[in-house]
Amino acid sequence: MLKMVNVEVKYSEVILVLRGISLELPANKIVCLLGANGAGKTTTLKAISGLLGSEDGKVTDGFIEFSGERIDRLETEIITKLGISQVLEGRRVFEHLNVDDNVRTGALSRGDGEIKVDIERVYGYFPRLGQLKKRTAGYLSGGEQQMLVIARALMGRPKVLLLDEPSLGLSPLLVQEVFNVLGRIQADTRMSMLLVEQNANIALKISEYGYVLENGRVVLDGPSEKIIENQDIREFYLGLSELGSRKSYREVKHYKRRKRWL
Amino acid sequence: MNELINYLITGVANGFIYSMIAIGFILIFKCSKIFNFAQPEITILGAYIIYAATVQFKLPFMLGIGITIGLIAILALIIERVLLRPMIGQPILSIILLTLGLGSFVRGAIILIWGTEWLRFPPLFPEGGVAIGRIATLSYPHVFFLSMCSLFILSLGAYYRFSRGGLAMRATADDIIVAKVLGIKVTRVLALTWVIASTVGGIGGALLTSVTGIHYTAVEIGFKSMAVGLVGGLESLAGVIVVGPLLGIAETLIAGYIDPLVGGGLSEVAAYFVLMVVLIFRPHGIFGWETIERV
Repeated sequence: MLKMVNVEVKYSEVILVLRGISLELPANKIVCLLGANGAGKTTTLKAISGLLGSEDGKVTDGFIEFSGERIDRLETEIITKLGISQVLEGRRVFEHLNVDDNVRTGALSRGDGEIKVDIERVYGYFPRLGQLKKRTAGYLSGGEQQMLVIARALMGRPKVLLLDEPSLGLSPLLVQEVFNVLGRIQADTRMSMLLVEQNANIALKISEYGYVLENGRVVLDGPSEKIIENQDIREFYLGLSELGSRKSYREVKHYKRRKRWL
Repeated sequence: MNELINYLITGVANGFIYSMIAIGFILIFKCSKIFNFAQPEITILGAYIIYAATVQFKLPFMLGIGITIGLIAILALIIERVLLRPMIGQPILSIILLTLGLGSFVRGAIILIWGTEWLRFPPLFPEGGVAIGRIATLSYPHVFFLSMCSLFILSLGAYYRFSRGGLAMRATADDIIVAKVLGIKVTRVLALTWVIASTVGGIGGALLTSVTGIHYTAVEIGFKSMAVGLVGGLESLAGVIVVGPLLGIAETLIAGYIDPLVGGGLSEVAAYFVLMVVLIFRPHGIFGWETIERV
């Protein structure tokens, strides 16, 4: 459904951030994208949704395809209309608008008569938001804001939802809640989700396939249950040692174990 | 007593026009963070166009207003398309300087076309006015000002608050990148803000000068409205609607009671004096956005 082939991204014509990334997001699947800070996860999402331009970035090689159509030269607004919606990192609600208006802005790109139905449906997923309709979004708690930006993105009825670190800065309980709802939404709407996460544990649980990014390259990919099994992932992303017990840092000798792909 | 009431009425009527012009600044500032220094010139351009329509081409006044709206809207579209869109992504300061240059250009064009003479409208309104009770009369120009301004301000406010287009504007004002991601056509929103801003400015200028006469130094009206916008708070439409009449009243009261004592001129600077005092105590203006920070 969504396909990136050998995509290379440069900022300001010199800084090479993505060095030939290829990945595929099939219909009706959740795929996750893991990696440390600066690996190029957010840049990958921005390349898909056409947001590189405002940061002087560019796809300099390769191409991105959505339903057989090339989208790497299109404007963000048009990509969104085609059905790709991104939930930006850092819970960017419209701070000065109330919750209800925030949700409605998600439907501004479409003009059909089913918007009311969708609003109710979205509040069904996030009942907490339904109780806070008139509250100014800037004053919501972090968890509520995260729910709000997801709700807002859903209003555009996307076929593909790009999620940039929905767990960022949320308590473990809230992370669980947000991911539960994401799972339910995916099951109901059969939309595809590309999930960028630092929280490898929860991302691998919800997704069916995963890619690991390092330094702008895909270093590992495979079905999520396989990735969880991978020794390096267990060691470096999940912080678990061989037996699955928590790692004792006293015994760590980092020079002994190296990631195999480096 | 009678005199005082008349000053108050004049102040409110003029003040609402300042509010209207200030709405223009504020819309553009909210949506694109550009402080539009060409707004005063566009304001008097409105006045000159209506002069040309009604005096030079002898059309009726209301038709003149229609023509002014049309021409100014077209001009705003051209400005947005030709000058501003290519500047998207450039530093805000360069864009602000661009509006300064645009302002000088429009002023130059006005002087070139209409010269530097005072131009006067023939009396547009009959003498007298509507009596309010026994103490005051509302002269016809003021009736007209107030009704026109309320019409424009109310319909704009309703559009901004309740329509889909208004919602797109408010969203763009809040976070332009997110607006784009949600599929809002941001360039169209910006073009629309320029059209609205310029037409309310132009109409405001046309209304005020229809009584006083036009001279290119009337850009002063625009700068006073800028002061209104800053005092009200650059993000608050409600703020300017309150502050405009207040500044208008301050001006007429000073002109009526203090100017004769000091030899005149104080009323001209009253708006800027208020601006200075307010900004010292409230840097965001009285109703401006303070950054929302959760505790």
